[in-house]
Amino acid sequence: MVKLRDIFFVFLKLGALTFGGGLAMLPIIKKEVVGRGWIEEDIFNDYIAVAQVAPGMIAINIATLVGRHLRKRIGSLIAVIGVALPSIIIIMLIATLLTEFSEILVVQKMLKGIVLVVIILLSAAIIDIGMKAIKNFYILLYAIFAFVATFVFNVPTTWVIILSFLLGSIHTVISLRLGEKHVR
Amino acid sequence: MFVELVEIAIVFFKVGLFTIGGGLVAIPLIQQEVVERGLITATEFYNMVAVAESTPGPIGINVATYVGYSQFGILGALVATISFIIPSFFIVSFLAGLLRKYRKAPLVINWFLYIKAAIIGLIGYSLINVVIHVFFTESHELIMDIRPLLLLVGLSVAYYFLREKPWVVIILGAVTGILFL
Repeated sequence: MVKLRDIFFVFLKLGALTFGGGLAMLPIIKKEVVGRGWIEEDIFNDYIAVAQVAPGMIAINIATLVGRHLRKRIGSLIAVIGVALPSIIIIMLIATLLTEFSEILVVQKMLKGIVLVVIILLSAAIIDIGMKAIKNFYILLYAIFAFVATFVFNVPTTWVIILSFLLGSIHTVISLRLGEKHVR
Repeated sequence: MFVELVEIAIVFFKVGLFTIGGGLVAIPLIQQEVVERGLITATEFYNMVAVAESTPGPIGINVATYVGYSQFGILGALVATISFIIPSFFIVSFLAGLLRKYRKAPLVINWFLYIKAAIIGLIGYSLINVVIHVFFTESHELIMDIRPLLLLVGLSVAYYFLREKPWVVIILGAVTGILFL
């Protein structure tokens, strides 16, 4: 049985050393847990798929799933705490420093420079997801609708997510109906 | 203070519940909740996102911790982060079997067809807000400062070649920001 301490430290290391969020973490988590023989590769690949369709952050979801696989509920709790703890500590340190030095011009210029990189990262994410997800004209139209609704009309972002579930459900029902007719 | 802490808890619980498809989606969700409610200013929020992207760890957790910490210190950071994690932790814990079994069901696939599209729109919402903030609001007039635009172009070229190492681009952004902005 894998020790809780080992689970904690593997996920602590991941949380402390991986830049770029959950998706960037996945190959490294895989190396750690599949490489150590904790989980078979095909089960882990399954977990990756689940982590992406479940609500929440991918890193937290994969920690929950791997922890649960190894040591049930206590394992998942330990893994999640491990992966989140470095963030909490590092951010609080930086936040304290930044409030202390926020008046200094160099700090403000540095942050402005990084905000420009944020613009690039957000654009890259849109292109990345768009290349994979925009499969036809209607989906493109829906993406534009989601943008206009939130940006122009200030519709709550949560409503757009709920609407997506509704449309996905309607789409499924309609395609099932059409499929049945085809069979007949 | 108790009431405000409960408000933070509710906001981040809600964001945690609706963050689907990765932590980046949390940015527009948190932005709408905290900036438009006036809890923090737009400048503060974009600085928080900048820090969250430049530090290790899940980006959603970084932003949640920062927002909570800026409001009520360590207690705020813990309340925001824990409330943010709780929904997905329980959903994934209890529904892992179901999710594994049905992740390829037509219904689930169709949900994600639309959710992915919505995510593009929502990240676009955050993107356009940052762009407007950086290039227009700060100068208080509609004349654009040319320096950040040139820097953005330069950094985009750098990103194109250094995609695999986004942290290098972040350091470049920080250094060139200090030098040129």
